[in-house]
Amino acid sequence: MNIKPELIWEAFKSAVSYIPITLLITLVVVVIGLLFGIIVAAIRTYRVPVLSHAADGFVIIFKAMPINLILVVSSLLFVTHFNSIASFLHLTVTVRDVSRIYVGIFALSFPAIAQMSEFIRGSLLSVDRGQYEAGYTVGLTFLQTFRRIILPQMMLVFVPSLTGIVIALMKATSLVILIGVVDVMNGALKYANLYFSYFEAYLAAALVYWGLSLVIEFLGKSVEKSIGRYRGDPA
Amino acid sequence: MIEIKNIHKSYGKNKILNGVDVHVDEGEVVVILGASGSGKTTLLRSISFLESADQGTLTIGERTVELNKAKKRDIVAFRKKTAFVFQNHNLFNNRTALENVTEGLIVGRKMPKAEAVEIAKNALAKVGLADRHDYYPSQLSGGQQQRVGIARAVALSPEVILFDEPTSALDPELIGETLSLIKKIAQEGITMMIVTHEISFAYDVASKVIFMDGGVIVEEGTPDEVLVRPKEERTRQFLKRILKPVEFNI
Repeated sequence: MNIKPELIWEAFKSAVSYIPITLLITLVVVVIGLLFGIIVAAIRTYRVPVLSHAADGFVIIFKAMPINLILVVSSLLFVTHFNSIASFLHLTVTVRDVSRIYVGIFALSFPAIAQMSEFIRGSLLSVDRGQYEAGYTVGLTFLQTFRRIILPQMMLVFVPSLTGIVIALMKATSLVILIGVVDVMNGALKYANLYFSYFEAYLAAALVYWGLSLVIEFLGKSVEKSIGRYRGDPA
Repeated sequence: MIEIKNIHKSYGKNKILNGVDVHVDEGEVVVILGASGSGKTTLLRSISFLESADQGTLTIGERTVELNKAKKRDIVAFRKKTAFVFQNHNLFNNRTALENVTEGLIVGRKMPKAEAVEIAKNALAKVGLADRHDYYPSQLSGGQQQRVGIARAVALSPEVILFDEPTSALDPELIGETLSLIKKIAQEGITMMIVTHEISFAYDVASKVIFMDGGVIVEEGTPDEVLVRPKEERTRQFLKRILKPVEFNI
């Protein structure tokens, strides 16, 4: 095979220019996933009546569906129903005014929430009951105990999985081409379609994803280190 | 003064507490003995609302509450009158020894930080850990962890300290130091309720001994009355089994 370095470079430059899109989708989905994931996990862990069954159902449904399926279905629903929902809410926007990026963010959020809540629940359960009891007996309320004692300990278990989830999500964003959004992967492929240089394009995309993963890994490790002081060696 | 009246608790069909009354005067050290499953730990945990009793009243000082009807606010208020020393110490893993002691003072009791740190330092000095302020629980031995647990309870200066088998998770060599520490604190006149299996410790430290079996109090009285001249057959059986001399054949 004849690899042309200059085409790798072209594809690479094109891919790099779409990093903001990939990172934006990933970051927003991670934040939404975290916020709602914590709520879903708390409902399931502390078995809130009625809601916990709904939360169980939510997680089971969205864990089972392939992400590309969720993306395409959301996009179809968006195209067919958005205008009527908007006019029902007396909004003046129409389906043309809304960027498909938001559809991508919307669709990716569901599996993200489901997956995050599972990992958060596991991390919550890793903290011993005795830690709650100790908090109560020194006069703390549930919320105080949770925030000051439980949360920091559960984060130590959760952060390594979070790093993995963020990387997986970042890779999953490459599926947004299905709904017409161009990101790193599809940015790299732009030139491939012109010069038939697919190998170079995928290689360039891989390089960008490696770079991004390395950065995320590094950030995850630093967070782990700073919150895990209490596990260290004698002071 | 602490008074518990007619406390009942069951898990499903399993009755753990079946109408127990306990009266503890200020400065008194009450030791609760009994076999596993006799309900002694559940009794202690009910006083801290770690278990929710099905029935019964609790009086600490001037305030009385029905155990099964206590509101969240009552529970927090009553918990501030007690302190708990756990079997496996349950120190906050993410807090240093000093922070373990100050946490309840600063956050629970809204004490200014400087004052809390002062009290915590004194409490740690009292348990012989003045040089371990900045150590995390994972950096302390089992005996040291339990001593931090005791300091954490003492620093709160509660109306009563509840000890739930404070030595049964410790190495045999460390039991002695922990028991003598508890004895030292008891001599300062702090009211205590202690669940333990250490009979000779109970004899030394208790002003009153309670023997429980099957969710009720079988016998109570001074250490001499209960441990030396027990009236009830069940008490005698229990003591005989626990104190049976062991012959070593090494």
